[in-house]
Amino acid sequence: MTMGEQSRKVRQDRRSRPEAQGLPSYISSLMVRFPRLKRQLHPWLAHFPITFMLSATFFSLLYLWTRVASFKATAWYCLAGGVLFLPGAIFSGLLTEKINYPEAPPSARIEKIISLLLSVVSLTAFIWSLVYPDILDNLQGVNLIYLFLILALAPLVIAVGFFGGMLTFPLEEERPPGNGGRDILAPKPERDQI
Amino acid sequence: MGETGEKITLTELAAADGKDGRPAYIAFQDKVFDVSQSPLWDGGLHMAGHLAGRDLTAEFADAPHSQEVFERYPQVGVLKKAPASSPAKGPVIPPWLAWLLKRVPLLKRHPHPMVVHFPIVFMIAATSFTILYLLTGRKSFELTAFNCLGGGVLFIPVAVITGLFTWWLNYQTRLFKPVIVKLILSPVLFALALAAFVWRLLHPAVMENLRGVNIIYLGITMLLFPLVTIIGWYGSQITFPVHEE
Repeated sequence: MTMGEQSRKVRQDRRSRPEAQGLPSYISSLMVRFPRLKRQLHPWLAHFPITFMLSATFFSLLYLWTRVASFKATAWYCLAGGVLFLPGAIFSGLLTEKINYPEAPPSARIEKIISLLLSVVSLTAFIWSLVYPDILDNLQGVNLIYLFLILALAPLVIAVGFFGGMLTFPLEEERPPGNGGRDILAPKPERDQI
Repeated sequence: MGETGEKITLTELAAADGKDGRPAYIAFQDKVFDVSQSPLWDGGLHMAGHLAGRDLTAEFADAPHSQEVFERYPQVGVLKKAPASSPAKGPVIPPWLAWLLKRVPLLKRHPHPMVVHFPIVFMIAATSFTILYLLTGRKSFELTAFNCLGGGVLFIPVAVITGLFTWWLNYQTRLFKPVIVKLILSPVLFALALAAFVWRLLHPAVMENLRGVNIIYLGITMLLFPLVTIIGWYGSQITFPVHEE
């Protein structure tokens, strides 16, 4: 196969129609009708859990610092918003991966694992605060775990966003080979390759 | 077209434009490279500004990366009768910034996409929680709308600054439709969000008395959602050009 033919095949593989990915017909036809959804749906939806989870942590801390009641309410609504949008973001992420990344890169796998952890943490915190609305006012004993869960949301969602961002803007494309920066996803070179 | 050293005419180069399954070739300093396998050249378009099938020697002067980038791509030939080209005017990157970008390549393209999450969601949330307040009368929704409005006001300038930096560094301040729309609407969004924030700060009961001039406050709050959606829509067209789909 000549280089041109190889290039053509890669491009055709990348542009394969959703039908070829084994997707349900209604999703395939939706993708054909609205081609934007192939790659843009996940980045659109991912904005919400990222901002809401970070805000849940931030406004909770702001409440603990200032005791202004509106910050507690906002923290809870942001947590609820994050829990509401997270399944949509995960589902669209899986769909995007199926369509655009037939061979999932390492960052996609890491993103999925952390997203699952984020789902468990955020849902636990949400149900806990739903049952005990004043939990932030009584941070003693077992309730400290709630604070830990809330504080864990920020680093978890940052990690998910980081690995997601690596898919859209691969870091290795930014770096001149052999110097500068460090790609944490790149496999470690063998000594004789250095 | 083929092996390294084989002469490729400008016509042949133009035919390898990366569209409709055709290979994507680019020429640089009379060498022709195959960039078909790079996701950054999907559809024969790079960073929404550079087209495959062309001699990019002149445009390369604007690029934020060094010419070592070509080591990643196979050379498929040399350009026949390559016209003399002169570097185009582009951003002059100060040495400290060049050093920083080299050490932290993440700063080249990531800051703007990272930051824009906040004004987008906060603006949408400000409108949505205001509507929830109008529907339910629950004060906590109104307070959350105000807090989100504050978050939006805080992050819009950061998003605008990182956006301008990205535009300067990666798009050589070229004007194309998505950029023009964003350049016009982002200051409008900021002005409206700031006006609403200050209004609500000075008159905390504005939403409880929606008569007369206070209707304007509601109108501004309702505008935030569609405005930020339009800005985000055009922003996503730069990152994910729809013609590639």
